[in-house]
Amino acid sequence: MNNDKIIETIGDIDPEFIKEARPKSRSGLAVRMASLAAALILLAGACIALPKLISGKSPGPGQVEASASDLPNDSVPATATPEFEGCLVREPEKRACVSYGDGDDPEWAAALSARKEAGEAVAPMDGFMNKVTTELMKSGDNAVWSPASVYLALAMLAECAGGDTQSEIVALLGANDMEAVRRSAKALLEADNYDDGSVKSSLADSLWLRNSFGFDTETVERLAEIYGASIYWGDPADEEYGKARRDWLDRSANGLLEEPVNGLEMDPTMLMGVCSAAEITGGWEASYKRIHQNSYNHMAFFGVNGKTYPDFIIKETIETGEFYYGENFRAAFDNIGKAGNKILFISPDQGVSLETVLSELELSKIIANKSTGTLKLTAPVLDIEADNDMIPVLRAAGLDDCLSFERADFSGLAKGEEVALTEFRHAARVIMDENGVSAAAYSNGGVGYLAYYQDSMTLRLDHPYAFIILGVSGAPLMMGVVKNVN
Amino acid sequence: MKESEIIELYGARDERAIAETRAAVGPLLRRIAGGILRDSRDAEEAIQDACLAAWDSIPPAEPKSLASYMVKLTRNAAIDRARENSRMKRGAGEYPAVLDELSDLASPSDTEREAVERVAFRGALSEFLAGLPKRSRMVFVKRYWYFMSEREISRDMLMTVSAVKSLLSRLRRQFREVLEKEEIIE
Repeated sequence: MNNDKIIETIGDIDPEFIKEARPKSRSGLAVRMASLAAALILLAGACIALPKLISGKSPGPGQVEASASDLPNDSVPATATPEFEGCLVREPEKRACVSYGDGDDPEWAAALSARKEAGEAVAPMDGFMNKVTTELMKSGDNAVWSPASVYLALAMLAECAGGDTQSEIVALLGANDMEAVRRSAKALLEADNYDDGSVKSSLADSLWLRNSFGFDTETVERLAEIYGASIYWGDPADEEYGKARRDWLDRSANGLLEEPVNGLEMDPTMLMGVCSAAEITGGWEASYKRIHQNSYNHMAFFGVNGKTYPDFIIKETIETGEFYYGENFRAAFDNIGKAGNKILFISPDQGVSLETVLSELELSKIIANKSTGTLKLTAPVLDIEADNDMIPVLRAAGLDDCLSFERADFSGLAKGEEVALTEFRHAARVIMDENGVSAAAYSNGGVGYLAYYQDSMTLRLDHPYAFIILGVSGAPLMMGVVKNVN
Repeated sequence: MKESEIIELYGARDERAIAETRAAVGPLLRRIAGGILRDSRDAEEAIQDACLAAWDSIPPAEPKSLASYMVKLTRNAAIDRARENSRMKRGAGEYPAVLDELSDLASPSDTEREAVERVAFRGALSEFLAGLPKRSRMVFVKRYWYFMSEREISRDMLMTVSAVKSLLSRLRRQFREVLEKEEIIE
């Protein structure tokens, strides 16, 4: 019997053996279907354009710049995998930024004015922020997150989505349609992306594509143009590609989130991922006095878990202090740097929970109606960090279709694929002391395939967990619940 | 729509059967055809061929599982196309490499004996696969049924590429010994 017949005969094996060996990850097997006419043209384009794209530019990952329109369009065959991995194929242009100087520079003032004007087009995020904060607070512990970062990551995911999947993301973001989301995201990126020497405010986005797949180049182009996304192209199972993403996040978060970044691994079943990072670092416009916990004051912080004695910072602002009296809370502002950044402290009135206040907070109303006078502000020195799996949070906040392999529609980027939002991590950290504020956050959303076999797991026991020691009989000989580790 | 309802559509000669088949098992068929052919246009055509084959064969065929039936038809259609591509010196994915590896198990025979050999070969293969550890069997099937490359198998099975190569070589040798012992090949 010749080997052709052997291949045919192997086709007759037990269907159970066929089923158990079904490819687990889609690497190399992800072939996208499209119209035959389009495929004929684009296959050729894909096979030729990518290697050319790389060879014609400076060598090595991270060194290549190209237009997203050079990316392959539809129907890239697995054999067209380019000869590079973990590679940056497009980087947004860096904007020139006018330094603050002595503050009288008309050029700086004009740049600030232009940013503020752009910022007027940013739609209020109140509803979105309140929903997500409410869910995050359910853990009972400190919560810290960047609404802007999560907003941008979700907006990019909405660009990649279609139908009801896009609609539910748009609705969660509090917009009427995708155009409104785009306008707001673009304005946000224009207004709050600068480093003028008094404040560094940075919002950065990136798109991570699976290299054995053809994507809709219009969407890729839009993500690059509107969201300023750097475009990466590689094999999610390749450690180098995962490292490229960690490096991007670490850079974009200015090294403030080293621990959560280091724990991030790329899901090998990922079709594409979006990242959005935010950073703000700046000194107070007028500095605070620090009250050390060992001094005579012994000021206490009355936390949910009891009284503690952190260091405090204290400042009195005469006449120019800004504050707001809400129905059941008080709020006060302070300026970070010279360019209009502010921090808003919110303190619920006695008997009112923080949850109640934050679930119905109207940020734009507070900003618009603040009073001016003398403000005496005392706050604890702070360094808080959180690393959250946002999938349950987003589900509770209203996302449903995009989390379902049956209903998710990510046709904006990849038509006809059985994919869903499988990963959304958000890490954030805020450090605040008498000198100023350093804060960074990142959102990392991934759209991937359903894993066929749940035969691997990464378990990171860095949060409360339980363990049980079993005897040979299977009886629980010992059990532990770990909530704190000193 | 349930598989049984789709099979009923075939039985009633209702052309919706093909669209419903694609809706039900299209992604699975794309993975199989795409894995063998590595070309979306060819894969799409192979699936069309498989759908036509289903249309022509049901009835009288009464598949218990539409997915299993379509999977087999799609594999056959994709292999036919890979053979054609190979003959025309066009890209044929992993097909030529797999064909080459299986030459270890081939033997010359006349047409008359071939049908008998094929039945014996099928029986020996079933027994051989059933007796393998699951992990080895999966590697064998991934390579010779799904035409996955050694690199893809290594990623799926969390093995090194050299371990995959070495295991495949060992499995072919063991199977050849079985075939020789049962005098299916000389």
